[in-house]
Amino acid sequence: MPSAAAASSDLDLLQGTLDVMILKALSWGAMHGFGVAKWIRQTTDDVLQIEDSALYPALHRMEHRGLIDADWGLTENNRRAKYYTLTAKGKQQLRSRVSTWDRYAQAVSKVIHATTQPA
Amino acid sequence: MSTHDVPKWRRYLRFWRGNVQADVDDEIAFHVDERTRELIASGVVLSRAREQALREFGDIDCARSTLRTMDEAHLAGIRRAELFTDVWQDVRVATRSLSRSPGLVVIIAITLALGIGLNSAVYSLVDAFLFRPMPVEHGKELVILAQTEPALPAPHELSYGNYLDYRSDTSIFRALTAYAVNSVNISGGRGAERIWTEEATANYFTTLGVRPLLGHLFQPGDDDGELAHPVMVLSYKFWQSHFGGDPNVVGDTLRVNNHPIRIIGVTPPSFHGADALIDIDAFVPINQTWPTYGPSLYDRAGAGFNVIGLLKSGLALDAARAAVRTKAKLLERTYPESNRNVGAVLVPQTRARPNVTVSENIPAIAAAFMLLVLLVLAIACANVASLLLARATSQYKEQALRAALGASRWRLARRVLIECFMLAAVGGTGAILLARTAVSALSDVRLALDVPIRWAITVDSRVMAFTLAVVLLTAVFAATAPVLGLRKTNLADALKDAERSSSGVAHQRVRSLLVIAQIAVCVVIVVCAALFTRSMGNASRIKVGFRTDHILMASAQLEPQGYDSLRGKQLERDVLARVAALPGVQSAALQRYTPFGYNNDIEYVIPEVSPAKIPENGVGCFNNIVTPEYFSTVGIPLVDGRGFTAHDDEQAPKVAVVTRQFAERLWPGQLAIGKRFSIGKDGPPLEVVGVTADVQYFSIGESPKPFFFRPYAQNYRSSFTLVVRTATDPASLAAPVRATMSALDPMLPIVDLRSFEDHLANGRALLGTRLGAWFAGVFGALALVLASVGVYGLISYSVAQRRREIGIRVALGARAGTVVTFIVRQGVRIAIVGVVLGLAMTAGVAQLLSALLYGVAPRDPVIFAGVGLALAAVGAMASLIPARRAATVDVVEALR
Repeated sequence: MPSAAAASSDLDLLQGTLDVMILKALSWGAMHGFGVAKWIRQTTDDVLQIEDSALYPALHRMEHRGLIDADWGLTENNRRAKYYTLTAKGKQQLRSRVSTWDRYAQAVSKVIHATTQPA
Repeated sequence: MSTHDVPKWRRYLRFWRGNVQADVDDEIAFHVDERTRELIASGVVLSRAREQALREFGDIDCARSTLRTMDEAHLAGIRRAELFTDVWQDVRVATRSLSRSPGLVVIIAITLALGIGLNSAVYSLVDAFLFRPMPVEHGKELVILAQTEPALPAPHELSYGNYLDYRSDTSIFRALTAYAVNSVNISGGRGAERIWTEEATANYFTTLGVRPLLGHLFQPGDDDGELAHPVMVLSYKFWQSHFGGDPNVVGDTLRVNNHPIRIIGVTPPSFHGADALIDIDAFVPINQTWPTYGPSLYDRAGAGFNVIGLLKSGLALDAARAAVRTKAKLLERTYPESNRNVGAVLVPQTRARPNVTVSENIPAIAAAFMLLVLLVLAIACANVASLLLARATSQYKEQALRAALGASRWRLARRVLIECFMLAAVGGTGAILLARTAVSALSDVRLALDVPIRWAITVDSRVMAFTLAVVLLTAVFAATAPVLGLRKTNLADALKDAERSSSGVAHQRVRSLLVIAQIAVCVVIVVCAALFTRSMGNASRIKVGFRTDHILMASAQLEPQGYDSLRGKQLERDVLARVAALPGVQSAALQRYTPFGYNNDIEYVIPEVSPAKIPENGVGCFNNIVTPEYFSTVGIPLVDGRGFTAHDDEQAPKVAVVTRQFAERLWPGQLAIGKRFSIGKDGPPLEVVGVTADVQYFSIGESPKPFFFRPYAQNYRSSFTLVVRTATDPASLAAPVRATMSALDPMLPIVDLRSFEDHLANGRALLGTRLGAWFAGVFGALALVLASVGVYGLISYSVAQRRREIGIRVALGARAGTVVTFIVRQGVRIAIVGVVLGLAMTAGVAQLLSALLYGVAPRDPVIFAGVGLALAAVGAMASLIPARRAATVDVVEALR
């Protein structure tokens, strides 16, 4: 995320945003933490750079909440890594978060592109 | 890097052994490594790449510790939940498996309820007598001060003079109060009534630590002067029963012994007086009720004040004991006349119940009974363990399988423990109900005495706590044998036929030992019960020297009613004349003291001349004051001289009738008739006019002691007990006798109207033995039932185990009779081992009871042999049912 100031001023929104991005990342299949970070970075063309030290607590918190599962596995290079997968609960969460986000984004978008003056 | 087949074993590795720290470190290290690698691939120099990766990650140490804390908390939560789930699952499994055998559960629950309940009931008694502090503010600190004299077997009360000396010694006591339990007559709407008061020093309530519920209690100086402060504090019970709890009672006036007295306050409901047994009605300051003590209050030779107080702060009991001994020596030097050989003892209030004069044996008696009920509980536990073992054997394969599948021993043991806890909890609940019943039955035990007795036994939180402890102990104890049985769990054995496995045989051996132990314990209790019962039978047959049947008694106290000796003598004459004329009355007499009663008098007699060695103070003797008809009424035979006659009055020379033992002690080998003796050094001489056969007086079965009688006419007493010999059942004359006496003075309370047999059986003399017989009888019956069940269970189980063997025997031509004999012999063999063991144990235990036994040796051979044979017979009987079952074994079925 861009700046620490923004992060602390609107933590709920940011955290919710981080969570939904992690859920989305994992919707493609099992991934380790590094993979999630990389996918988000690439997908947003480096606009959103998530600080890794914030990513992992989010992953663990979501694991404890049962949104994602974690298991140790081996990478293509035969390295031991912790892989996260979406649980059913996580998938459901993703769907509801996405639709909330869409409504929110549309609403904000409508406001900032509004053409009618207040009456 | 996308989807990977995670090896399944890794899951289990993590499942069993989550290592939070290593996982977190690994995960972060992996991330940094991967990023480093990526940066190198994109062209960053190796040395810079790692630096950049670390920088990009952010505060790595903070992240690491955050993750660890999060994960550890999460893991701990999971473990807690897992443990809870496991235990809950065990509870559910145990419930399910127990509900499959409801019969077993009922038997176990009843067994444990009996065992635990008896312990709770007896503990509530022991607690009341030995442990629970008096329910007052200073209850835990109170000590009793008592006097000792070489001539008396137990400590006794103090004289008021001596009390004042001890009280003034502030180096020993910070507070010391004295009280005497007195009855007074009150008159009101209900006619004449006798109530019980504690007549106490003014510091009584402050010493004990009692605050008023209503009004106020004694003020300093309330005990100064005679009748100067006629005030009374009511007990809560008396306030409720006589004033309906009227809050305006303070300030009211009551007539006590025909004198007005002002009510100043009411004590709280928890306070029943300092006396441990009598439920006191009211409290008055010393010398403030009529009749007052007069100058005799300060007579140091007298005794009669219970002294209770608080030691100086920081003074240890032992130091205080030494101090009162020193003080007693000082008093002996200062007052050699009255205090010769008088010592002093301090006893904690909890060790002086119900009264310091009789409390010496209470701990021993309590220990004996506690031991008895613990033995019963041991039987109950052994039975439960035995039943659980039998069940464990039948669940053998299941357990072995669970063990083989990785369930730890602890896990298996935990299940057994949980099962036992559940059973013990059910038993414990039943036990509380049982204890309540038993305690209310015990509270109903009445003494043959018109005194409001309060046993102070309750099943309260203290008893509940004790019961809970016993429940836990029981569960652990009952679980021990089955849990130890688990040690043998062995898959190979179990998957063979459990019935014939070596572990089955081991279980059987354990079970045999348990049953042998039960029989042994049962022998101990039944022998004790038999000893007590024999004692009761013996005691009622013991010749006490006078007739105890067809005797009715009634008592009255004239002095509180204001009788002087002239009116008193007239009333006594009238009572005798009118009662003797009643139809059904053969003869009537008066006595001052009732044999085997609570009220006794010792006088020190000194012969005028004597060949015997007589102590300087004289020979201490119990004695009685009687009217002329007394000897014929109660059938005491004269062996020499005459009894009293109407001529032995105030004008005639003072006379006495003595017992043979008295004559023998004072004038050995000489004729007693015509000899003279005095009571104390200065007493007027009494001439012996008659000698009677010996009588027992204080305790049943005592060896003959010197005893003498004096005539009422020469020794007026304002209290008397009427003794009536009846032609028919004495109870049938109770109402006419009461009516006759009341007609002479309607304001005179008549108390203790009962037959002598009632007095004997329910009075002081036989109370201990009677209760002992009752308790041991109940416990004995119980132990017998439990032991029979034990033998029955063992033999049934053995028969089930040996079906094949028995089948083969039958197939080979064994007849039913042979099989029955074969099985029964097994039961009898076990019973005999138990009996021998039990008799050996009894030989040790029975000695403890010797003080309560009459006319029977603690190791009475007839009782020992009888109980032994009886229990061997019980063993045979209990084996008979399973033996019959064995004899009808279906050969084909058994050998399949």
